[in-house]
Parts: sequence; structure tokens; C-alpha cells
Amino acid sequence: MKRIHYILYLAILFVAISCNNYPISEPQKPEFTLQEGDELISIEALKLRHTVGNTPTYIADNVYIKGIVTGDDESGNIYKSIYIQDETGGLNLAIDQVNLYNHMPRGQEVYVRLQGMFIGDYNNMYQLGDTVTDEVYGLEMSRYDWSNEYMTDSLGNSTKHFFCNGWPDINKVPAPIEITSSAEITSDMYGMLVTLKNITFKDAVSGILPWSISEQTVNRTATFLKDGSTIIVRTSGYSNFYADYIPLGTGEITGILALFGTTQQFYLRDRNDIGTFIEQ
Amino acid sequence: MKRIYSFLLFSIAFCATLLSQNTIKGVVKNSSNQEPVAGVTVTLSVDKSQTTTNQKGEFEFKTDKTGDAVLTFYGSNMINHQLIISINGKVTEIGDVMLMPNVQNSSKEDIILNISENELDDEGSSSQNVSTLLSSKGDVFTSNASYTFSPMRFRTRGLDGKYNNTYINGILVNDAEKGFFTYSQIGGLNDMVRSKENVNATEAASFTFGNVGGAVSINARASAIRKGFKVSQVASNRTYVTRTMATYATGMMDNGWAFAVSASYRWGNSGYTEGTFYDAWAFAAAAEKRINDKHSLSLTLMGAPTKRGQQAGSTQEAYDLTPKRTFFRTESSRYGNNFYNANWGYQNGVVRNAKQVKTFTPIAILSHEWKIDDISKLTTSIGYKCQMDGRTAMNWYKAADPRPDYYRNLPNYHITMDNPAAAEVREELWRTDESYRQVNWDRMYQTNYLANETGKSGRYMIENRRNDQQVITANSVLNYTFSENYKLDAGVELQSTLANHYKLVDDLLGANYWLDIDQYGERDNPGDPNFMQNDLDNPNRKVYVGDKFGYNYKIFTNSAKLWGQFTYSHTNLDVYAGVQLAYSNFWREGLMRNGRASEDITMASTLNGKCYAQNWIKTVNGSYGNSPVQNFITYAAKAGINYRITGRHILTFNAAYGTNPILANNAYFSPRVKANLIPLVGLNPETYLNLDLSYYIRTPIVNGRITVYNTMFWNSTDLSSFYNDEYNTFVNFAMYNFNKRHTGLELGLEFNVANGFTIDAIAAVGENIYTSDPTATISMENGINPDVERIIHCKGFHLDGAPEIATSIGFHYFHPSYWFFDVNVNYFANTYLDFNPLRRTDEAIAGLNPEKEQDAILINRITQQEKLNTGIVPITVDASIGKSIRINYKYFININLSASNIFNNTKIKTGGYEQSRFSTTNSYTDRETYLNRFPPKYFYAYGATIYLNVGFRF
Repeated sequence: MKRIHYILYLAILFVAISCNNYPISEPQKPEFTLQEGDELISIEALKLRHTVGNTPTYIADNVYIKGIVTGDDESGNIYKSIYIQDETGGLNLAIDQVNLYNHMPRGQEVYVRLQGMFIGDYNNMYQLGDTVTDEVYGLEMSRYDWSNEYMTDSLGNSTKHFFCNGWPDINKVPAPIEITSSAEITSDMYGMLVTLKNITFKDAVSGILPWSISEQTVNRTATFLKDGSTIIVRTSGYSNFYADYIPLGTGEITGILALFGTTQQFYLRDRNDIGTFIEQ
Repeated sequence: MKRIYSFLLFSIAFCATLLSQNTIKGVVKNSSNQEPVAGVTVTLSVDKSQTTTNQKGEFEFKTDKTGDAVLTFYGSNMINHQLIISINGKVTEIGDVMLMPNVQNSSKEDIILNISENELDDEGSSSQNVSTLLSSKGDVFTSNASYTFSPMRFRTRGLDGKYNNTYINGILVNDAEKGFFTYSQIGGLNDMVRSKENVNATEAASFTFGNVGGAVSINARASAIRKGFKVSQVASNRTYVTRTMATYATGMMDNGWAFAVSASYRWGNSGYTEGTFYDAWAFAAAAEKRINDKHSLSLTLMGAPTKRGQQAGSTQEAYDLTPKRTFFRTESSRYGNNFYNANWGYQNGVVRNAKQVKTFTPIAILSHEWKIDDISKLTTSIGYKCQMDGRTAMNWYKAADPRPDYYRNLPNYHITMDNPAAAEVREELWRTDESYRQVNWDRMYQTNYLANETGKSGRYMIENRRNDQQVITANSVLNYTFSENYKLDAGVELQSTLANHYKLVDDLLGANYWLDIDQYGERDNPGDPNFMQNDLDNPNRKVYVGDKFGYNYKIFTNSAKLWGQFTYSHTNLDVYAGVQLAYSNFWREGLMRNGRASEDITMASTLNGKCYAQNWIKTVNGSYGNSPVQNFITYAAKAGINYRITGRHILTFNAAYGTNPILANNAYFSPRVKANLIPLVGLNPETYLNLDLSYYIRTPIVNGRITVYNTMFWNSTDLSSFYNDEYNTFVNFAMYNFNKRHTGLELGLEFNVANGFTIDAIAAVGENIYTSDPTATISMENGINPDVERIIHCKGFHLDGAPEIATSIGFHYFHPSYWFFDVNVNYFANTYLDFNPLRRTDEAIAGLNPEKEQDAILINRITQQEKLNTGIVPITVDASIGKSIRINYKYFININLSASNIFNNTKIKTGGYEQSRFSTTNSYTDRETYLNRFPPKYFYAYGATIYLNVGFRF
């Protein structure tokens, strides 16, 4: 019996050996540098091209923005979006693709080729993406078609818009702006990484209030202890932390600042963004 | 006294002249190896009498005619022969009659085996297609059906492969869990399996009680392999491009020993379907010793390590947008390629297939034969089979679906989303960019490298789903002839199988490690870190190449059968009756504690689906450890008559009734995750009734049969598995408590039109349907939705995949200088699509009003079963040409060039399946959108293919 097993193991080895002799792709560190004729502008300058409330603005010239990814969709709370930030501000890149963090995770430096894209707003919040023509409302913002990253147009030119430079480095993520009252929020902060300090969730007194409900998106109100001003913390029921309980007491949370109409909103990126809360 | 003696002498003399019959006798031998040939039909022209050669090739006629006569010889695998003799004197001794073997038959068999070497590769429908049609008989229907109908995945009488029993040297080689035998396990060993005996349906067999679909006994003992040396080379464009095979057999030598060895290598860079490489070896060795006149012992070892790339079914849209390929595999400028394969892609310029089969199943069989006397024997065999079978697949974690024909990559989805711009972009990409419509390996590697940089686990990997088995089988068959009239065949079969199912990390595609958790488990119960664990005892385990992960369980199956069959033969009547009693059992042992089934559950041990005692009920862990044993006691009885009206007109009737145990595969509805069984009512054994009536005609001009049959099943069980890509999980539909009926007609007639010219007509016309609605347990393996029970409304639906109508007319010409010409014109119809059970539940059409026309149309679209090939003419034409050359009476060269589907009809679907995604709301638009967005996936029959076989024998 043992001899048979020995022969069989040789046979297994035979089969195992004769497999997977494919040429391995080597890791390619993403590299990008601007070429002659490419112009780098700031995120603030890009936002200036569009007046909030108007139809989306087409970008015809050969300009780029550059930023560090501050918010990605790994936890599922952010969906089909990436937030990048440079020294002048933060911007929502609206892209029709899930699991974007596999391509542009937090800490990744990204250049965005703007020519052919649209800068607009989604209910007063700046957004970069594409457009679609609605029968009633006309030209509206829509998400950028990610397949363009792999295509060429009819002239043979690449239609790629997002270029990563270097490996992602979590240390490159800019320090979040500390906010202790909603009065401190200025319009250039929307889309940026912020930390809401000294806040409490008054509705969470039971200790068993979750951030969100499965497959829904829920707003929770955070109150700044400094002056009682409030801000909406909006969490998706598709995130992997939605069922965690909102902590009692006072603490801080980090995430992306946003605007919806005239309402200030805040998105957590993942459960690590929830700082330590102390009960008084 | 003297007068009495004279009278007596005179009487005797008188009687002697009256009884003066002339005897004609001879021996039929195979001209290539001088071996006697049994089963050859010999006809004497002068009085139209007929006989068959016995095991020694001997035949004998008694006639009172004298003068010239013609003897005609015809048998399967031999070329028909005529001999003019002169009957004079009491005994006319013909001597040896040499018949030339019909080597074209072995070439045909090679092609049949070639088709089965590429088993149906779909993603999990319930149909199990196995080519079971190897035949030894001169049965016109069976021997031709396998050759001409196999490319369309024909199943005899629509029966699933599990209803056919295959034996090698006495050992049943059917898989104990799934029920059927895959010939690809012994692929490339064609020369070892040429000698066989088979029975159709439930006819009386000498080697087994049998099964509803028939049985075949392959004799792969050393003495059964044709003596001599044979080398053959094949060039083809079907599955492999080249096959080299060499066999050497000594035949039974004077010293009582016989040896045989065979080896082959099959290779192809790309089969008819792109990306399907083939890389397979095969080895066999057999030794036999005739110990003395009564005893002989044989040992046969076989194994065929095989690696090949699989084919995927795609939607018609994907096929229509893919450029055609020319015969020489270059890209055409026209579109419409029904052989687009989504499984492969380029990796650094090299074709790599993501779904590969890596399999090796060595078999060893020791067989003993005791010749009790000239007419009785006892054959005992013991076999050991070690199966190592792996199928690779891509797996991804929180990353974009890497499959190129993922629905969002094709235009159709975007049209249903009212986004024509996005649709146009994708249509252009698909048509023009090959890397878009194939797997992008380099991108998966780079995504994994990026994950490495951020300390994350791999996003993409290749897993190898293993099904390893160790099978021990023991079998003993007694063939005892009491007298000329009475015969007893009886036997006992024992089998024990240990099947280990698990998956391995095959290739990390550049990632540092893979995390063994279920991503949807993670999302859906985020507060519960245990829910997503596949192995609770090793939570969040990092796994590397060669590690077992995901699932790991064993199924133990045992069976014991006892059967006996009694045959009474009279001059023109054979009557047989047989019974079988069987015991079988199975249980599951889970080796991983799954987070979705970690609680203890109550399960019962049963006998035929019933729990008979309180202490049979046990509390066991839902996924880990042994689960209670399920037992089955089943029985069967059969009887039949073979009535020879004359030597030329024979009528047979067969009836069989019995029960079959439920297979382990159909009983556990989610065995990768948990130990739960389908509701016990589903474990009641399946009952069957088979009736068939045949009329055989055997004349020198026309030869064949017509059969009508009706086979019914009650309380059947079947498990089908679909992959749901929305939730990245398998959805299992365990259907039980349903009835089926297979009814139809088989016709096979061969006409000897003129010298060397024959025409044959074969037809199978049948209907294979569900005759009741099954109940189904629907279970998602990642636990994202709870298990539900539903009634599936599919009464009247046809069993999928095999054409219910298959017909062929063949024209064959044999020229005396050993040229062979064949043309077959084939027509197939009534093939049905495998259906998604979810769409046939009450919930699927709830809220729709059949009175409203618009709703009625939607109900129809949702619930009707699709019939394939309705808009086309499903006719194919095959042609072959062959030549046998004999050199110096010792060397033979056989050349056979077969072309299938010479008019390249690439529009015939052989099968397919509906996608499993369907709307879960009651909205009209939602349902309609799902139907539009997820159309069925199809498989097509190959276009024009060739198979050139050159063999050299001496």
C-alpha cells in the first residue's frame, strides 16, 4: 500500500510540476510626468471655471490637476467616487466603477488629465466627471466611464484620464483640517479631509444606535460641543461598518466634508476614522 | 434371424439416408492476427439458414442440399465477406475463413472517444453529458449513433450518464458521488478499450444486473489487447492537434503469459475553440498469467494525466460581436464567432486560460478468472482508483470582475441603462481590441502589486477546486450454464469511496497572500466577524500557493449489490428474469468550521429517507465533523423475452422496475458550507420503470432494428448549481420529489445495396420531460440570503442539452482494394435550454395579471423554456475516406481521414443555460430589465473539423 502511495505522490508531483509556466509580469511602479504643453492647475483654479448651479463646464484645454487621494471606496461608504486633495482644496472625482481603491487608494498621487472632462456640481458640491443629456433637465453631471482608461479614440489617441505617479504612501495624505464648529467651515473646504473635533451624537444615548441601516443611507446628527452647531454624518448601509454602534460621549471623527444643497455633510471613510470617544 | 437382421440393417440404412444431413463447418478468423472471431453471423444461401460463430470462431450448418452454395459472413468490426463453396459429401470442411477487420471502426471509435475527452465545460448546469456510446455489437443504431450523434451531445433515450454502468475488467468505474463515468479519465488509451461487451438499456447482460441506460464491460486484460505492435499518429483540429500512440501486446503466449503496454501523448496549443490547450499523457500496462487450464490472473494499470484549457459559454451578443476565425485560425474581417471563449487572455503575450482542468486518475485492477468448466466461469476482480482532479478558476476579492464577458463590458447592459454612448464605446472596443474581450492577466498582476504596496491581501488569484477520491471496488460474477437451456448469471459488487473536496491556492498572481474569508459574508453581517469566516478555527487566515482554503469536506460512500439473473433458452425463445438487491450509504465529514453554519443542528440518520428510531436523531455541528449516515436499501427486478420468429426476424421485449438510491451529490444542497440535507422526502429512493419492445431484422440485404421505449422515473432528485456573479457565489438548486418520462423510438437499418455499397438510416425520436413539479431548496453559499423552499413549475419541460430528435443517413462504400468511403447526412432537432428554476416559482410572476395582454407576454417570457435552433436548419454532413494497405502479409497501414460538418454549419447550438440572476421585486419593469440584461449563454457545435489517423500495425 505504501509503495502505491509513493508512486501516486510522484504522479501528483508530476502533475504539479507541469503547471503554471507563464511569464510573470513584473511590478510596474506607476510613473507620470507632465509633457511639453501640459499645464498644471490647482483644484481651486479648476473650481473657478464653473459656477455652482450652472450646467456643467467642459474643459477643452490641455490642463491637469494633481492631488493625493484622501478618500477611497474600500469600506463601501464612499461609492463610485474618489476624493483627491492638493494645497488649494479637495475634489470629488465621480467615476462609474466600483472598488476604485484597487487603482487609486489613499495616499496615491494622481494626475488627472482634464481635457474632455466636465467640471460641474451635484447639488452645489463640486464634481469632476462626465455628462449626460436628460430629456427634461438638459446637460447633467454623470460619472466618468472607467473603460476610457483602457481605450483609444478613433485617431488612435489614448482616452485615459487618470495617471498614478509612484506607489501609494499613506504618509502623503495631508493632515486633516481640524474643525470645532460648523461656523469654521468655508466653501473651499468641501471635498477636503477634515477632523470634526469635540462632537457628540445626541441621538446615540442608548448606546446601540448603528451608523446606518442595511442597504439604506442614513443621516446622523453630530453636535459640536463648542457652540452647539451641528453637521450631518451620512453613512451608507453598504459600508462594512454600518452596523457598528455610534460611541457615547465626546470625541472626534475624520472624513470627507461635503455639501448637499445648503446642508453640510460629512462622510466617514472607514471605522478607523472614528476616534476615541470619552463619556463624561 | 437373418431376416430380422437384414430388416434392421435396411431400416437403419433407410433412416440413415433420411437423416442424411450434410455438415458444413469452418472457423472464422481475423486475418490480421489469426485469432478466432466470435459473434460473426454466417448465412447459407441454399436454404437461407443462419448461425453465429462461437467463442472459438467455429460455425456449423446441417443441410440436405448439395451442390454450390454461397456462405455470407457479416459481423461488427469485420468486413463482410462471401465465400462460394461446394457441398459434396457428408462433411464439407471449409477450414479457416479469414475476415479482414474493419479498422475504420476503430478510427470511428477514436473519434467518439475524442469527443468525450473534451467533456462539456459549462459553469454548472444540471446536465451531465458523458459519451457513453461505445458499442461492440453489430447493432446498427448503437454503433452508428455514437459516431454521428456525439458532436451534438446526444444522449441515448435522453438518459443522464449516471444511468449507464461502465465496467473495466469487472470493476464498476462510475463515480460514486455523481453517478457517471468520464472517459477522459482513460483518455488516450483507446487501444486498451477496444474489446468490450455491451447491452442496451435493461437487456440481459452476463456481467451485471445493469442499469436503465445500458451497460458496457471493457476487457482491458493483457490477453484481450490485439496482439502485435501498433503505432498511430493523429492530426486534428478538434481538441488536440497531435496524438501519438503506441501499443504493444503479446497476446496469450504459449508460456501462459500475456503482456500489453500502451502509451500516448496528446497535445494542442489551441483546439477548435481558442484558448483551449491540451497537454495529456496516458499510460497503461497489463499483465496476465494463465496459471493452468482453469485459472488465470490479470493485472491492469491505467492512467492519463491531463491538462487542458476549458471553454466558456457566452451570450449571443458576445458571439456576434467577436470577429470570425478562418479555417487556419486567423482573424477574419467579418463578425459572428460562436466559439468565442471568455476563459483565456494574454499574459506577456502568452495565451493563458483561467479555467483549466488538471486531472489524473490512475486505476489498478486485479482480476481472476476461474473456468469452472467449458461453459461456466467465475470472475473476481478488485480495483483501486485514486482520483486527483482539479479545476482552476479565477477568484477576486473586492475588485472589479475580471471576466471579459462580464455583463457591464458588453453594450447590451448600457442599452438597458439608456446609455447609448457607453454602449457604442464598448461595442467598438469589443470588435477591435482583442485584449478587451479576453482576460487581462497583466492588469490583475498590477492590481495585486498595488495591493502589496498598501499592505493589503491579494485582489485576484487562481484557485484550484479539487475533487480527490480513493475508491476500492470488488466484484465477483458467476456465469453458470446448467445445460443447453438454463443459464445463471449472478454477482456481488462492493464499493467504498472516500471523496475529499477542497480548494487550493493555485496562483497568487503576484499578490503577497490571500485572505481566507468570504467578502459578501463580510459585507452582509458586518457586526459579526465570524459570519465571513470559512474556517472559524483559523479566522482571517493568510493563505499561500498550495494551501487549502475556502472549504474542505469529505464524502464517504459505500455500496453493496447482490444480483442474479436466470435465462432459459429454447430453440427460438430466450426468456430471462433477474433481481438485484442493494445497500448503500453516505455521510459527510466537514473539516472546516464555517462561519455561516457554526451552530449545532439536529440531523437524523435515515433509511430510504425515513428516520426509524429516536436514537437515529443526533445533534451535530452544522459544518464541522461527521454528519449522520444516510442509508438506502434498494431493489430491482427485470425480465424479458427474445423471440426469434425466424432466424431473420426477432422480437424482443424488456421490462425493468426498481429503485435507485439518492446520490450524495444531490442530497447535500450546500456541502461546501454545511452538512444540511435536502428535506427527507427527497431522500426517498428514486423509482423507475423501463419498457422496451424491439424488432430486429437480419437478412443479407437489410439488417437492423426498430425499438419503442418508455422509461419513467418517480421521486427523482437533482442538484444544479449556478454561479451568481452579483454576489460572487454559487447558488444551489436542490430539486427533489419530481417525476420524469423518456419516451420514444430508435431506428437503425443498414441496407446492403450492392457489392460493397451500404446505406444506413438511423433515427432517434423521443421526448424527455418532467412530468411533475419539483420542490427545490435554494441556497446561496455565502449565506447572503437565507435558504428557501419553492415549488418549481417545470412540468412538461424538456431535459436540457441532448437533441430529442437525431437522424442520419449514411452512405458507405467499400472498394475491394480496401478503400473506404463514407458520407453521413445528419439532422438534429428539439434541443432545449437548461432553465433557471428561480424563474419558475410563484414569486417570479407574482403580481402579474395573465388577463392583461402585456403582463401575459412577460409571463410567457419569464416562464417558457427555450427551444434551441428553431430559426435554422440543423443539418450537418460528415465524410470520411480510408485506406488499408497490407504489406507482405504482415504489415498493415491504415489511413483514415474524417471530416465532420464539412459544410461548416456553425449555427447549431448544442446547449446552454439561462443566467441565474433574476429580479427579486414584483415590478414589471424590473423583471423585464433583468430578462433583457441577462440573456442566456449558449454552446455551439464545432464547424468543419478533421481527424486524420494513420496507424501502422505489425
